[in-house]
This record gives sequence, structure tokens and C-alpha cells, in this order.
Amino acid sequence: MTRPSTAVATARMPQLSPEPCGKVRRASHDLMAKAARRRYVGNVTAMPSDANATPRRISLPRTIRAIKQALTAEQRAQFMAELEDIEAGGLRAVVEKWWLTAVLNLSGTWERVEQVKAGTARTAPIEDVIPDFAERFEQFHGQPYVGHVGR
Amino acid sequence: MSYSLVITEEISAMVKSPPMDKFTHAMFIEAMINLPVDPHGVGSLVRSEGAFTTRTFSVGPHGLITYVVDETTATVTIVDVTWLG
Repeated sequence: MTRPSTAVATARMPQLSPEPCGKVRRASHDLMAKAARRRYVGNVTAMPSDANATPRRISLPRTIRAIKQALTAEQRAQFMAELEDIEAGGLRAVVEKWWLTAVLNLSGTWERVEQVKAGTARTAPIEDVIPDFAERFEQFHGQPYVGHVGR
Repeated sequence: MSYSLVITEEISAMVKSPPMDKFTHAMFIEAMINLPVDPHGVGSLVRSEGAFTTRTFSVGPHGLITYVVDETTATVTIVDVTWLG
């Protein structure tokens, strides 16, 4: 049995060098690009949307530790204060509320919320996205959809 | 009171694009139809500041829609769609 030489074995592995070239450079670039898009917070990952408008994918355990890691310092202080005052029966609701806040932190949603509040977000009426929306609405609710046209 | 429903351009592209499969798309539309009637009656409150309320609701096992209710203009804006897990 012949063993691959050291030169062959190492040639198959991506090498980190100051000036990567060819396939290695591209592989390294791809890895860095992926790492840049994916934000790590402990055992939490967040993959923001890219150019083809795929949904942001967030994985965040509903544990106090994971939630704390994904909160800002101010939010963390509020979360901990609420935890200290909550009675056992209310624990689930508090954890759920702050878990949602943490998820929105990781997905960058708050920036978009602020744009909406400031009136700077680029928006379109739902009828432009779902052309038969008004028809579906009326079928479901038995009343016409007012929307922007009716205002 | 009835609200008008708008959607950010980024999320609009997401809804129209292939990554949102037919099943999820159908659930998304069903959720949208309920929003103009009672946006405060569905989903979970996340934050409330002045006339603006930020809420989320789930679409299927993994989808999470975030929307902002503006009481001044009676507008609901779909801000984000996030996949969980």
C-alpha cells in the first residue's frame, strides 16, 4: 500500500497564506464572505438576507443565557430586572417577549422598524404585491378592503 | 377601524421570489388578510412607543412576520419576515 506523499496530502488542503491564489483564494474568499454574512452570538446564528431577498434565518434557543447574549446592555438590564420581579407563572411570557426582542436584534429588524417610524422606508401597497388582495379580503371578511385608494 | 396595509420593498421582493414556497405563501396571504381588521388582536406585542406598535406573528412552524402599526395614519407596515431554526 502506498501512502500519499506529504506534498500531495497538503496540496489538497486549503492553505492560509498572506497572498492566496487561484482556487484557494476563491475558496478563502467564499468562506470569508459567508462568515461575514453570518453573525455569531454564542450558540446563536443569524444569516441576514442577501441580494436575492431570501428570508433571514435565525436560530436562537429560548434560554435565558442565549437571550441575554443577543440583547443590548440596556435590554439585558431590563430583562434581568423583569426576571427578578416575575412570579413563576409569568416566567414564560417574559422569556417569550425578550426572546422575540433578541430575534429581532439578530435579524436587524429594529433598523427597519425605525425607518418605518421615521417615514423613510420604501414601501408599496399590499395590492401591488398580492394583486387579488382586495378580492380575497372581501371574500373572507364580507366587507371591502379600504386600503390606500379609499383614503 | 380598518387599517391600510403596506409592505417594504425588500419584503415585497421576498414574497414574490421563489424561496417562499406555495404553502408558506398561502399562509402569508392568509395572515395578511387578517391584519387590516385587527392588527392588535393577532400575534405578540414586542414594543409600543407613542403611536407606533411593533408586533410579530408566526407563519407556519418557522416563519415570523414583524409589522408596525401606526395609529396616526391607520397603517400597518410589514417590516420583516424571518425564518426561525
